[in-house]
Amino acid sequence: MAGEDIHVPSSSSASSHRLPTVSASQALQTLHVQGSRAVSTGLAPLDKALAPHGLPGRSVSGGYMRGKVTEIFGPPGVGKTAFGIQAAANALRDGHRAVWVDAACAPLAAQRVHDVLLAVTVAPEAPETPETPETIEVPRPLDERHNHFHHYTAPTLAHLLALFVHRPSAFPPPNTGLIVIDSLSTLFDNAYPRNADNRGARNKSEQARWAAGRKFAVMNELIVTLTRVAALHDIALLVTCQTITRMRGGSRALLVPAISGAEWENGISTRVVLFRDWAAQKARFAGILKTNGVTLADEGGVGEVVPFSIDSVRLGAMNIAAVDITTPTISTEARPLKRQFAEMDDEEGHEGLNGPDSDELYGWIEDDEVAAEGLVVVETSMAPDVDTAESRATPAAESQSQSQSHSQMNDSVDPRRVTRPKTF
Amino acid sequence: MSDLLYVLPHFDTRPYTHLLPSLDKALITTNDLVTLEPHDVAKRAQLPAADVRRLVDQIVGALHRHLGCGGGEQASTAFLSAVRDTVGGISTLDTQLDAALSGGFRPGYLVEITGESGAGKTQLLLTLLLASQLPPPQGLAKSAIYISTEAPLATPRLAQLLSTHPALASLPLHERPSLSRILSIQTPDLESQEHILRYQLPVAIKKHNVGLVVLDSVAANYRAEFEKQGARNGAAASMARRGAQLVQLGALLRDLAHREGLAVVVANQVADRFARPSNPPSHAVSRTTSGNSQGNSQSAKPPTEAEDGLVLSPDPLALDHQQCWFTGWGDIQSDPLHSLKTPSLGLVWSNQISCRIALIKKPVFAGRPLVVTANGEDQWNDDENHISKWRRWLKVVFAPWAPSSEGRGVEYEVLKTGISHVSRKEK
Repeated sequence: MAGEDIHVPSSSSASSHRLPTVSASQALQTLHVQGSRAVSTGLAPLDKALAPHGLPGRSVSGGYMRGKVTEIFGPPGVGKTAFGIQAAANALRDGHRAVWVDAACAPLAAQRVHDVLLAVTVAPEAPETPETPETIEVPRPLDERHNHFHHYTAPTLAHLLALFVHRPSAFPPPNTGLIVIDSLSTLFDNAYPRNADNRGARNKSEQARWAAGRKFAVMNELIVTLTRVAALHDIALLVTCQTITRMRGGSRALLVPAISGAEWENGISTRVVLFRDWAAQKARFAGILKTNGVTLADEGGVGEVVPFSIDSVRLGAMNIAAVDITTPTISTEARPLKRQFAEMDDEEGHEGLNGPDSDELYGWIEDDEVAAEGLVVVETSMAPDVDTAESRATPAAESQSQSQSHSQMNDSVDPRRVTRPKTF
Repeated sequence: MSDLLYVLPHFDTRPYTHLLPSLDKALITTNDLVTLEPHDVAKRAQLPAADVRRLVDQIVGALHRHLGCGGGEQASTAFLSAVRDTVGGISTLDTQLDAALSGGFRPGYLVEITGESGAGKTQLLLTLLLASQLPPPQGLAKSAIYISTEAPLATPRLAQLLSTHPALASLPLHERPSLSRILSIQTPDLESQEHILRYQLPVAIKKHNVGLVVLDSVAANYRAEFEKQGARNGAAASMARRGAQLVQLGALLRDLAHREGLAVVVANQVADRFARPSNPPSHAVSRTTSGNSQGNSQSAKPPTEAEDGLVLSPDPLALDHQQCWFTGWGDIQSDPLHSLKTPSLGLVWSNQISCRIALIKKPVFAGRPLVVTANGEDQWNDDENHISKWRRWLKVVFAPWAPSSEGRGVEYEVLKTGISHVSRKEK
């Protein structure tokens, strides 16, 4: 947390290391212009699922929330970068600037971004997102959007830390709506190899023990800084991560995000997993594991599922853009099943296995903390949470002519969700 | 502090030589310098705080300049303006295969070509060695380096390709690629491989104007080294060590590719896959891995069939399930289990590469319908029989610059004149 106010070479202005104070009436005001609070994912169902719970009877646009950190993880080739590019294109379309930080993995293909930008111009989408006054007019010229796309390459973790912990004066650029850090986990893997040798309980010097603990200290420092940058500058911060395996029960190797730890997960307000399944040849799925600080699924579960596909435009170009949605009904079909699986896993009493990872530790904490600072405008009140937990479950149950047992399970899930805020 | 040279190779350490040994001794890395308070660092390493502060300022400044923050906005926003002049890559010298790859192998990336022995990995690599010397758009007009861990470079085959490949033989003599611009070296073991890649390769790249580095194959030395030690004395520990080394190797190769603007192409072997990854949702039967404690809750509840028939698999995030899509084998449900392969070196390595291209081969049996077409999908008719020939497919599993292939990918054949696609009419 420190370090920054002491001696930043190009020191940020005196006020910028404080979070802005928001009075209650201001907060209410902001609530009314919620439209600009999110960067669209390009998938309407996903936007809706990620939307914060606003005032009753008021629809709020969703997506990657500004002021929050969102993590997307998934196996290689599943479309993590495509999500980032789509988000960047949407931010640019809305007239914001977008910052892209390439971590070491695969450099961003400029052509691909270009094609996505073109596609967004050609088909200005999402009429349902309430637009802010300045974005109602025609899509911005391509050149302008090109100039609003900032690209940095961070070959090592030190570069990334220097960029965020000791922010240069020009960073983030004014009016930035989105920062994407692509493949952040690669930097950590390179800087701190996962080595079994480290774990050996042999006698180490004090220094060695200190150095071994630095990985998590640096990780915590980074996530704290990222959340701060996001909150201070009202930026949607999107981080993509690779996966590692973790053995769970016998020979079951599970894909889990490469970066984990209680602090890290606390700092991440929304977490989405991308994966693939048999269901349809070209379909991929985005599972929402955590949204706006509320954990929806445990390790191994996929939470609420939204299918998508990554379209390739002809012309031999690599427009991996225009993330189309397959029929939206599918998402409601798929949802209850996964919810049950995740919940059942939990209810069977495996919490011991999950250990400190289970969602008791995080989830509510973050909301509270942020609320205490008077920063968060909307989604902190518990009542809407309860509201939507129910509303999320009910349409699914209704829409489905499924067996009784299913809806019962859904019911049995709900009380748990509802009571949790009280117990906290 | 020893990592400073790696993080900032051009950082002038001379004014700070009195600090570095103490920092080294206290095991303080550049990351720590950037994140910690200078006076904490100073206390830990028992150094004067003012000096440490000066060093940190210098390092942060240098990192910022390296990121392109120093020189105003142009550096960071010029990225997209350069779109048009960056397109181009190393061609496979075949139109269809190039189309599948959106133009060929892009410089700046670490690409893996994986496939069974005899699938055509080396044939494809040899073609690339020649093509990289061609002027754009087919190549980079640069030399190539071939690092081999198995067989030495097949020069007779190269010469044959040069004289018979339609795209090469038609060129006038002075424009034709030459074998003298292909540098070759053999790395018999892991240690020499490490040394060559880390120290000799960067020098050779600068000296010979290299645009393509081929490593054939990446797994061979790892297999030998780590399987020798055997399972009994700490297989897990040796796996972990291998994982750490693979991460390093991946970082090294990616860094080379990015910094020097060259294509790094590695060949990788495959192993058979054992477990059936998961069931198609239509057959709700037991899974191989569901016998454990975790599985109880799942097997009690068979995957329910929704009206649309879209149901997720019971354990969607299991590695066995997801690897169907990122290994290149398994995403066609009709494929028989025993034909599935898994590229060597596992998920750790899959995370390192930017692009994976799978070369898939399937036997063609004599005297019976070989590929049955059902529902517009090729289905393999797998009965024991005499193998008369092989069919081969090139499949882009994932790539940053090209969409992944649909179905099996592009069918190709290996001829005397090189690799060429098979036109679709026979289906």
